[in-house]
Amino acid sequence: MAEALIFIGCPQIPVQAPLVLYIADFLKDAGVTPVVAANPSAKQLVRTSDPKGYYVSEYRDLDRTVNDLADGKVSYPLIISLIHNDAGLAYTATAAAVSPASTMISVFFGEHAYDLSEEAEYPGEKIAAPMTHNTRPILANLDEVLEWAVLKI
Amino acid sequence: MGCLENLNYEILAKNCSFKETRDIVKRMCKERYEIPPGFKIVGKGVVGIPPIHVGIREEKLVCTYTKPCHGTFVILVDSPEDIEQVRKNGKPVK
Repeated sequence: MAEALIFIGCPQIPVQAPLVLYIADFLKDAGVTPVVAANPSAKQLVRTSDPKGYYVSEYRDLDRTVNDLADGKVSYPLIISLIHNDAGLAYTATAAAVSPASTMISVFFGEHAYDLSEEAEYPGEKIAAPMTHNTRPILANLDEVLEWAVLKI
Repeated sequence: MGCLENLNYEILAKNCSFKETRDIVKRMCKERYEIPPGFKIVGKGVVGIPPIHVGIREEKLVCTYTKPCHGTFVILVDSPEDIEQVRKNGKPVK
């Protein structure tokens, strides 16, 4: 079964964990195994929301994943990155550079969503909505992009 | 980043945007190099938005270190091995 990497950083914005579960659910329905790469606090929030691992059963450390992608130890045909700050953009730009064969989807959210999306110069699909508590503004676009992406891998 | 903890390092700036780090490296170092994302410094792939610049100041390395919740730090690291790698494999910045 194909795997897709969901790449997340700082969990400061409330919509992040629900978006991870939403994307994981979409991927599982499409027959793709979601793997979440996160820092410890972001991972803990997703794990607490999905204690039985119904949506996400595999987690990886964020920095180790960057190293392993750079060293060619792991590869994913699809990487979906959730970004709401400059550090998230830096991590995603790095993943895009060290894993050029992957299809990249960047989901920008939080109050700086549009500014950050304009700074993203790496290849891939980008969607943005300045949301913090309400996921609704991005779901239609997210569905559309995911439907296209899972057909590609 | 366990390896960094074993080295002599100093934090020069914290919570920077990546653009700001390039300006800081430029201000602090005459000898500068561009490195690709994932380039290993103190055993860890460097995270950043290209072009990533590092510098050498008084035979110490000025480079960036990004944390998901705290933005990007500019640090000064005493690591002759990394300086050698940067000089060998980095692209000089004029």
